[in-house]
Amino acid sequence: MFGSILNVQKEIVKKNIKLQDLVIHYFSLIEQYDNKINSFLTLNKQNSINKAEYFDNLLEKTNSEDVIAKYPLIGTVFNLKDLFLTKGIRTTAGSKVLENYIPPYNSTVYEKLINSGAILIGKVNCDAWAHGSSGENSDFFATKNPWNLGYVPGGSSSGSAASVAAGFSLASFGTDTCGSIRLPANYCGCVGLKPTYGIISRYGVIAMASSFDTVGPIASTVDDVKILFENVSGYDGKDANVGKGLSIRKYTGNKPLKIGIPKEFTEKLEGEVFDELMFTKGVLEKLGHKVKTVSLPHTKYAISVYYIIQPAEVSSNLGRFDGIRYGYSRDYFGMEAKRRIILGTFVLSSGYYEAYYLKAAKVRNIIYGEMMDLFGDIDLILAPVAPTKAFKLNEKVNDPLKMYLSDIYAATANLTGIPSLAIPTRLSTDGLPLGVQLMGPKYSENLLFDVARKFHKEIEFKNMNADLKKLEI
Amino acid sequence: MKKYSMNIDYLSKLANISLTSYEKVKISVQLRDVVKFIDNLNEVNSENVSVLPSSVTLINIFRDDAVEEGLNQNESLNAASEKIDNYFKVQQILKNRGVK
Repeated sequence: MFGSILNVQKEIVKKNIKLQDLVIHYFSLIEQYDNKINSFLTLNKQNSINKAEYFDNLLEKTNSEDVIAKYPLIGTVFNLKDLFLTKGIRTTAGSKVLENYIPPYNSTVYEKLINSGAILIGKVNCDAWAHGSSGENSDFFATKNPWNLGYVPGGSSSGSAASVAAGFSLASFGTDTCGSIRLPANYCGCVGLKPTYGIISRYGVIAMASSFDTVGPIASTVDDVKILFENVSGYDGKDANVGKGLSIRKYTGNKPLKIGIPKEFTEKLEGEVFDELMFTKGVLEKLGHKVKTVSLPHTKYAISVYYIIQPAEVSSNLGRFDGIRYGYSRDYFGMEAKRRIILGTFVLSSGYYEAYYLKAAKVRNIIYGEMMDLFGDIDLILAPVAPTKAFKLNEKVNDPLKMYLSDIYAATANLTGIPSLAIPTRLSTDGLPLGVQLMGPKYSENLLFDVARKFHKEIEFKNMNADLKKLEI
Repeated sequence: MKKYSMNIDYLSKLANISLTSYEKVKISVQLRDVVKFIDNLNEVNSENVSVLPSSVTLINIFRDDAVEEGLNQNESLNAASEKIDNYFKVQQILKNRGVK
């Protein structure tokens, strides 16, 4: 209805809008159209209407600018990937194992969002345990791409991106272990941030592969992603990787930047995805930046490293699901979880540990070193998010290796811990979103936001929301 | 690198995952492709390279040494599939030897 969090807040200040009406608007859209897209698993209807009523009363009694100062995310009607624990609200991880699990405590991100005035309207679908690149590994049902119901929305944060692109929520939070925020954001035309590793607490988020796991926002505009990021990042004392006094670099000014496109990311790229990368390069050059080809020779091994270390960590993290303290027994794991647990157990097993796990951990260090060296020479990396735009449902579902390779350009940021912002650019000739990712040194989120915002301004980017009317046909 | 051989029965026992015979065949075939792919790491010379322990500089993070409220017994037991008298019920692990 208003397209962005910041627009909603402007209307709140002008007293043009009641939060109750806003929340009801989203529920009516969900009730009308989500049976086609399948993004939500659980709705939080009465709670969110009560919450909206509370804020409406507060806004009536108090100066709205004071309310916004106290609740900087007021008006943010959001949902969460079903990996974030929400006290009293079912949390499934997209898996039958947790089909009826009601958590007794909150994840830090959820807690920070609601304390900042945001309103949770529901929990959304994802690949079970965040294992997947298409959303089709959910144990419940596959979420569909709102731009074309024959296509996948991307995974694993499938419901997050699909629900934002369909206009069912202003924002969502997903998790990105190897592209799981950026890939669906890219396939659905949203902005998605994979933040620096260790900047947003993962407390209360069901773990996948802990040395890669990050959590981050998906929304329609760069400014919305920025305000969400600012309100959830930082120390909470509950995630050992999130330190006190984090130095998120400030960035202001119009200094021309040195931007690199790694040749390893473009060698096999073709069609509209390649053209869009070149289009973005041209716009960034027009804005005064220098764009050159660079090389990260060992990133061609990124997926191999990832598909050793990640299943190893998965097999360990999923070991806690024993069906005793919570959830159903291990027999309820779906095929993909079983595959990863077996692969992880294999690479860690006696006789193979050194050949696989240890080798991968060493190659990861080589890739890390290359990346740190590269940022001595350039300020930012411009790259495709994935080899293709959204692909068709069922296209890769029976070929796990092919599915894994969808993440080939996403893996590097997770292996090295650097932030990456996926931004939409334009639509393809067949009406599917296209986009790119910008990666920067650790803690350079503000630089990514600034460059992306100016890029969008230059191309007169309009929020990409899929036309739901078309779904009625 | 050691020649690949994946003993699926052994692995499923280690991982405490029960697999049907169909799943065993399917997973074996699919993982053979994946392992063939990840074997390309053999091309990389990693002699004298140390492992990357973490992509962030790890520092000790301590909270104040003060008692904080945790979950109460009810909340902790709430999601358990089976419980008896405020205890989690688990399967028997040790057998009663000599008792018939």
